[in-house]
Amino acid sequence: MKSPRLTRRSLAAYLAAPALIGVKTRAQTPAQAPVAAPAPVSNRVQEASRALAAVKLPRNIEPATRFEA
Amino acid sequence: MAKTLSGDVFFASIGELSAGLRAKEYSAVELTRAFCDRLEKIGAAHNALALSLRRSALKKAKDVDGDLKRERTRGPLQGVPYGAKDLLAVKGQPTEWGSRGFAGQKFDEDAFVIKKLNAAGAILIGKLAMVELAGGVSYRTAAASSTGPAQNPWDRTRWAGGSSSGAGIATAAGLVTFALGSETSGSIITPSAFCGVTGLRPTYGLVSRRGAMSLAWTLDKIGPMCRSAEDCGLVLHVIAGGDAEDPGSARKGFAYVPQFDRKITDFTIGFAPIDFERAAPEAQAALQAALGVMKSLGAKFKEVEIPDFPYGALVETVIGAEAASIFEDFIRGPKIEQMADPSQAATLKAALDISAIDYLKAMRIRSLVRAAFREMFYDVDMLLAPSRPTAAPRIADGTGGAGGTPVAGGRGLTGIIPAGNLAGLPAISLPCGFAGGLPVGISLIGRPWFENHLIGVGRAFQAQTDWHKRKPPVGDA
Repeated sequence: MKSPRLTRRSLAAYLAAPALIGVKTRAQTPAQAPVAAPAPVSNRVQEASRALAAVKLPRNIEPATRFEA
Repeated sequence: MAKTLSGDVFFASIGELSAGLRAKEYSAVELTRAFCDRLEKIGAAHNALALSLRRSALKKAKDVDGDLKRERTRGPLQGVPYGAKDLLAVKGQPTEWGSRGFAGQKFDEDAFVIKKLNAAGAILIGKLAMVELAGGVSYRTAAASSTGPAQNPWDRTRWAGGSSSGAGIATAAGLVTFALGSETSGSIITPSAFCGVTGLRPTYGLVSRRGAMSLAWTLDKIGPMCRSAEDCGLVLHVIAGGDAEDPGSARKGFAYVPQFDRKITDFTIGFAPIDFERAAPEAQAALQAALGVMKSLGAKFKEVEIPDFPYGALVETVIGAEAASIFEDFIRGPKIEQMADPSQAATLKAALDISAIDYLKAMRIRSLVRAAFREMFYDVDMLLAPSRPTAAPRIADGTGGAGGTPVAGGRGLTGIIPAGNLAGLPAISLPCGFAGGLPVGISLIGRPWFENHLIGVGRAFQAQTDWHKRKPPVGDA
């Protein structure tokens, strides 16, 4: 069965629920917090993977196949 | 005896040069020779030149003079000297992608955009320096190029930005009248801002990449770097258009039609005051003044915030996976050890470990990013943000954290460079002042396919300011 496509409503629900995004965003960082030094190269892939894993995606979202909004 | 051309010619607009050629104030050969002299001397001194094409340029200029004599006109670019980032193939000439690992590489066909400009009579005088492999996944030093660290024409101890470094330098310093750059995530906008030129990143799919180095096929775009918004429109008019041989081509055309500009008072521009407040202290006066000029043009302004996604992780994963696939043989082979920036080599090697699941997850999140921007553009016609929150960093300090800046007090539009690239949005960077003697830029980011709106507002901004006409202290050839 073909998955339903992304709709305005499902997008709005996603954006209205920041808890779905499990990462602590930069916006939540205290103003005076020091900026972290760049991660060592060997950790970058894992770090990006963790950031992506923290985004909870509805199952019906398909990969982008066109690349302009 | 060769005619000595005045310094003004080197900083003239495309329209002015075209008028001078038609009025026979100078010939295309005289113009080409003078620009080649500057590019070979000043360009080389700033590490902006990958390869001079003087011989083929003079041959082309002679043809153009013949055409002009017979009144065979081909449009405003006819006889205008330009440069192309060394990521674009030129038939039979070395095309080295800024990398010692690809030294001596040649192709037997011109890139699509070079062919288009050739047909319009523009004269390619040189291949311009770039960050190695257009920056790969990431790089940390300005020296990440086979031509050495790109020196900013406003201060040679400062970086020119990347990865279209030579295009930024050559355009700013009057070594070419315009240049072609490319952007995967920031490579037109950043050097345009740091060097004080007007750079346009087209909508994904508007300009064919045939014959260009591929770094990340779902993100790569080719665009003009010029000294004004008007010139960006004239160049984009020529290079845009469908191409069945570029799978990413949207097969759409672009006509630069300033006569049909919408009134600026019809536009609503989204912006975030915090972007201007938290820019580097020395850049704030210029950015705030630019915001004031933009507001004075009569558009409505609306405060907005960028949708909340992990843009850095997304763009790193997409570029990393696609670049690792494209360059797998290079990464696994011995030549990767010749890369100028060891950290870039290490990042490319690490990118081989990006899983298919992570790549697909990034591309699925990208669907949400696109949808979120579509939603945003229901309320605003375009976005306005500092091109970069700082002026050019010192070469000795590395690339100045090209990936983003810390955020406190709200997201604003921080991350708009990776976000705009992930969503395939067009953008234009306009010079808007100086910070400690270095240029600062402001960007307009628009709906896909609405480049004319960005150029129109850019032109109105440049009618009220003269930052785009300033000349860096590079001297004469």
